[in-house]
Amino acid sequence: MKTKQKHLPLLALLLATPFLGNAQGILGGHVTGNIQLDGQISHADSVIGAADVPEKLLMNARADILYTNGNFSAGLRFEAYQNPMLGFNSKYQGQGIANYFAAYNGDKLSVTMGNFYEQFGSGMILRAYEDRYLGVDNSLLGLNVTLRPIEGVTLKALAGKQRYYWEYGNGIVRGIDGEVNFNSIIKSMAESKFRLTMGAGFVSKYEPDQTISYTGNSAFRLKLPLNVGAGAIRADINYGNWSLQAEYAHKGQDPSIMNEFIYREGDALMLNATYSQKGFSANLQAKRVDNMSFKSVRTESGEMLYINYIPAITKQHTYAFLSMYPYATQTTGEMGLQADVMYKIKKETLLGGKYGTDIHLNGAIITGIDTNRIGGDGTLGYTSDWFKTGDLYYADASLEVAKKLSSKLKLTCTYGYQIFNPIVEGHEGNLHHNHILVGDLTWKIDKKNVLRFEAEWMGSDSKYDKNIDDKRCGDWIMGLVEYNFTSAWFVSVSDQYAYRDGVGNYYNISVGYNHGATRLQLGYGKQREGLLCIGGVCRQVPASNGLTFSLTTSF
Amino acid sequence: MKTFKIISFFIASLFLLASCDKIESDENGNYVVFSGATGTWYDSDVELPAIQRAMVEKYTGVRCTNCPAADNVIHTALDKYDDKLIAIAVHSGRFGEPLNNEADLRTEDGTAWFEYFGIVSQPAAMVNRGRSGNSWDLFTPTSGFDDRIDAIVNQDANVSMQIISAGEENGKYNVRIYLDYKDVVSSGQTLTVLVTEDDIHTTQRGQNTEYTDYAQNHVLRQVVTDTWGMEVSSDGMPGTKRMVMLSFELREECIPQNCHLVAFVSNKETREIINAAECVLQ
Amino acid sequence: MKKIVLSMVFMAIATLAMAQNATLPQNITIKALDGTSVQTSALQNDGKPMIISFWATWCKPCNRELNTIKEVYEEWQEETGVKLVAISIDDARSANRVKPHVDGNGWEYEVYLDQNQDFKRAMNVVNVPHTFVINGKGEIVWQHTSFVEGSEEELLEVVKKAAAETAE
Repeated sequence: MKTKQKHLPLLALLLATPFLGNAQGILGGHVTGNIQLDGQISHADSVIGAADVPEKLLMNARADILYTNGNFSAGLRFEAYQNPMLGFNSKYQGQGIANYFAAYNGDKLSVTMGNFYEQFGSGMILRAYEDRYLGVDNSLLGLNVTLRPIEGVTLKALAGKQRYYWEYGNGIVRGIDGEVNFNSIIKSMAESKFRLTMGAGFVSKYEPDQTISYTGNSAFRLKLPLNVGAGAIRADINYGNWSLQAEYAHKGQDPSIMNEFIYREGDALMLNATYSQKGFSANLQAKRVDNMSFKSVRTESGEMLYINYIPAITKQHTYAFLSMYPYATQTTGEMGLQADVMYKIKKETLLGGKYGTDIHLNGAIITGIDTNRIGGDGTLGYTSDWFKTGDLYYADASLEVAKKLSSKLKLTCTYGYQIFNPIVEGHEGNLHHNHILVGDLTWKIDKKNVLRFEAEWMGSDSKYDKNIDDKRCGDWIMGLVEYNFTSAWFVSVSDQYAYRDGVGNYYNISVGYNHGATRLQLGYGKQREGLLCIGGVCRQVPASNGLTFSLTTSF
Repeated sequence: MKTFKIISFFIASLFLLASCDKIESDENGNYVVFSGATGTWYDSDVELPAIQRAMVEKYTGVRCTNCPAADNVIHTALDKYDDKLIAIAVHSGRFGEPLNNEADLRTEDGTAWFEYFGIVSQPAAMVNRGRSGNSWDLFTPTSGFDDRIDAIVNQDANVSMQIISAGEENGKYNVRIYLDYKDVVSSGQTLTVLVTEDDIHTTQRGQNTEYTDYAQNHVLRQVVTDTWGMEVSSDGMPGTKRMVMLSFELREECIPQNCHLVAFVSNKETREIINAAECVLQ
Repeated sequence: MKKIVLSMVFMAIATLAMAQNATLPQNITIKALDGTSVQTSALQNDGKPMIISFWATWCKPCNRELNTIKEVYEEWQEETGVKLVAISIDDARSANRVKPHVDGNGWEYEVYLDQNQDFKRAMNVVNVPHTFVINGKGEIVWQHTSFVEGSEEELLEVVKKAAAETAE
């Protein structure tokens, strides 16, 4: 044990030495980190779609070790997938140092060498990020420089290759970004209610030439652009209770497997307007995305090697049935509107009662874009009327009412309605229309004992069809009871059951223990993949059938 | 130091801004490069409008006194029929012998045709190498011949044709020919591709006069294929689309900017031209 | 396999002891709700304790935590001088909804966006909610993941202790 303790700072030291001229600052500083271990012992279940696991035990493990000393830091990450859990790409199989970096973070200058994460604006042209629970890691291996020459001005420059499981993609990503906060640089605006930040970025991807045959004629291959550029401009305006964010991105010719090798240029516009005051807020978002899939390897179709990130603007629901049909952005083309209103009915009013009532209303509608097809690969692909919408992809509306009934009881009721087009997951089919009801009651028995009950119902016009094998179809009911003893222990029991036109019975029992930043959780049963919020935390979980365990700790 | 940093940052930015390739499409809107073998026929995906063109070939010479008059008549026809009519001028025979030690505009291929069609007087012309009864429909193009053109261009093409000059590479010009069969063409076909040049200034005899600086247009300079063309590999069925890429060295004397490429498909047996196409050499 | 697991657990235990005097990472850029970039070195409370809570608009327990503390925040502030800094890890999907969410809930906290989760990574946060208590010297003296009604009491105790230490 002792030797381990010695090794850690040593490792960091080794990493750090080349980047520091003098070693004086090395002594001292501190090591922090986090460890995560997830495992499952699964057995196959065709009814819920859990695959057979010949190795019996699947496990993902990860440890981040971070050494910090003043402005200097260095870190590395160990990852092990023996074998990768369900829902993770089998290319993750293996173990080793997945990630390492050394960084200097000064007041005016930051430099990172090694693996780094970065985002320009909202990420429409560049976002190197990770989502450990989804198995996404788009980190760049290279150099990242941030310059803050004067207060209110940030300049960034970077170059690197993207992580691809245990390797790195062939494409080189280079980018620059500048952002100016006018309230900081213009003295007369310093105290103004009008706040203005503007920025612009440019990203270029280089990839060597390769032979991609033209499907129209075997005598031809595609004439590929080796450098693909994308630029974006953005503004963030605030005035008192009002705020407005706008970002527009444009991408040059980028034939790739994602857009079926068409040469149309891409663009995307995102607008967001908000009015908010204490106890009331309204938010309206609009976006249009056209051919904006941007990857550093043109032949990669999976979840990796995305240079940019175009978010879905639909609400991220947390209740199981509301999030059963998650909407994923169609980077090849979509248009959407989203509205969100929150209102707090004041205490001591007729509707507010003793504690007040929270009302949260949300709605979104997403459609495809209009397309007039010109041709397939090696052509411009299509033309599009900017304002015309295509097929309906997704729509939802939800009303959530949260009310504290007494000092011990809190009730949240939600009604949601969804229309889901299976085409967004790549297969043609009828639209699914779902009604969802959720009741969520928290009962704080005393200071140490808390019970939570959740009941959900989903009525759907979809019916399970063996040939399509969409296990979400049909009508569902769900119940969940969660008992927390302080924030240390919890037990939760739940069951989701398709009582009509569907298949599946997802029962689950979970036990957890929290101490400080350490959390241990054991579960048994059938689990649907998705966002799971029990025992006081929220995380994405993979589908499983059998025993699952999870340990996370930060230090 | 700070200024230096900012300046170097923006120099890097400018470098990046230049890092974006713009690919140009070919005439068919495709962003592709040929990666097959030249002279080999491939299936094509290019759909062409059923345009039927006519080709008038004029046998001419600098010593032929009636030829300038024929040039005017052909010029008028070209104005009228625009891109539905293609003209080539084959300098040939004794009338084709150069004057004043000027360059000889005759070619071996032109002479072979001249002899094959049995031309005895000049100017002589043929539209689509048509026949009149059992003999070639040769005529003297000093008066209009619209009826011959109308008979051809007013019908839909059995084979639509496109010729694309696909640039110069290693001193060789690439040319692609696309065929789109609209109707059954039962007999075998040959494809002939040739180069014509405009604006060659020579001495030219005319009626009672000699022009010292006469601009010769549509002059046949070289045949890229064999004299009588290359075989078209096609089943000749409607819906069939074929293409071929050819590559050739342009004759040194030619000024590329003044050159055109002409292609025509003929009946292998009768030599009659089925359709033709022309483009500027690029 | 066992070895790896074991050594990692050991590493965790071994380093836990060293973690006590860790301070906030400096010069990581986060964003204020008006779009202004802020360095994490600016997160200070004049020598009084500070709570840093990582949360997200879509995280129910996080919202329960921040709403629960809201009820007692004024009392806490008077008693200990504490300041709560809420770091939203919402990404571009919901980052624009943070300001309306904060205002709609009537939170009086200092709220920042950590859209690409640079601060979250530097603080070794795995799941949300994850709450830190920083003492007057800028040292991380306590951290906890998860929230259940009632656990705010424990948090208050830690804050009180930190406040007392600082006062000494």
